[in-house]
Amino acid sequence: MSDIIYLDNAATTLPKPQNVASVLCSCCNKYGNPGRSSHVLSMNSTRLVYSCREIICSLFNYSHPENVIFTYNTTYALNIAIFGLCPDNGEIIISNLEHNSVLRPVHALCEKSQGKLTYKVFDALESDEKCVSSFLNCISGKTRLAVISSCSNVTGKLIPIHKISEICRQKGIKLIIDAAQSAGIVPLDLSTLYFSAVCCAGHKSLYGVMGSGFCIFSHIENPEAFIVGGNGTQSLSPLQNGILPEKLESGTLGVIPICTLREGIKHILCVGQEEIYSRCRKLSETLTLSLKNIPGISVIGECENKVGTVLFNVNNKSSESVSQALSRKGICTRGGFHCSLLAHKALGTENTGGVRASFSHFNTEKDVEILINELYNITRN
Amino acid sequence: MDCKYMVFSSVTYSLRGMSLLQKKGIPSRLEKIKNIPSLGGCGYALAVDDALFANALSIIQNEGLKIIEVLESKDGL
Repeated sequence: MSDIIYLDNAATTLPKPQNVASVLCSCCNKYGNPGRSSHVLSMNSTRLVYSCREIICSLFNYSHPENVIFTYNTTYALNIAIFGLCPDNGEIIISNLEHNSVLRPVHALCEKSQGKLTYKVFDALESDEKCVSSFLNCISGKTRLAVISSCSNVTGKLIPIHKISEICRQKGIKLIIDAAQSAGIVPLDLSTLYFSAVCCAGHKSLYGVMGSGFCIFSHIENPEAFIVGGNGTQSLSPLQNGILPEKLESGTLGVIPICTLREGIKHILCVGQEEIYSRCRKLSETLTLSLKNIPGISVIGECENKVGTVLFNVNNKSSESVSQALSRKGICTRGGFHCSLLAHKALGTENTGGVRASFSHFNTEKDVEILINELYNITRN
Repeated sequence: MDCKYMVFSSVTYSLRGMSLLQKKGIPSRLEKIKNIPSLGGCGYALAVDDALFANALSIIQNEGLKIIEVLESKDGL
């Protein structure tokens, strides 16, 4: 990593904290299959998995560790939540900043329902006030479910999820929150927030390794199992255990990713989410200001409430070619469409895509300076 | 030590019970039991010292955790 300027933290954070890297090496031969056997290595693993459920609850101020479901990434978590909670008919609301991991399962369910289930898209691009108003306008007597990202993966814009949650509570609408981009950066207090499920990546701003993700269900929900099979309990029954979390955790869990996730969250609790947010935000503000001073560069999707993600384009150059040019200089960004058809349509970049620079709290002002210098060179050539 | 066993609906609930008891200073041990009739197969239980069992049971029940079954011993299971 020493020669690399890594600015693709919205995809996965790098570097990982030292305690995460250390545990990754040490845990390979320590843990058996959790919740399966009575030998010491299986029991160690079972306790490790449970302790990770507990630390996740500490981060989100939630008192139901049994409602934390481990998955392999946010997409799995969203699919489990969407397919598990979606009604047979009615309307679903999503925002125009959603990742394809929300759009595609919702779209697929509606297609399959042959018209019984439909979805509406509200405009989350504007101010918080307009965003809430647009959400309210989408609600009808048939609205049953809202699936909404708390933070755009394309621009870093924070959605007013608390206001939307309150509306859902009042209207009796189930709410699934995609917190892939905000968990670990923006605190979410689940002891007071109304929600049906919150879906997170373990390998992004929670600093675990890839292969870790989870979904937290509200204690009042009992979702249908999306995947069934062996889960270490009631082995003589052909029916799936009806109790969370095992009901939704068929097959062997990714114990090593879970182990790193636990360490990643320990790191966050030690540094503090406010500190992480303020550092990432400051770096993104510095970058945005500098980009505006470079002729030929346009910053896209600027807004007040956001995390440390900046989207931009260099005029007359494709976003992929700019990202590749930066890569040749050892700077990692992400060009293209960021798996988000809706967001790029809303931003007017559905033909060009954009270059995304996203920070973690391991980035420095020097990283921004090097990126800016290289962008100056690119615009001159 | 002589123990009794609290059977929970899953290993996760067993560990939640263990965590609650630990906070109250009551030691317990997680054990796998191969065939619990009420669960329809294998399951997990918390082994608690006989002398502490009544207190442990009351703590678990006060927290609203459901105990599927209490086993006097694992003999025959």
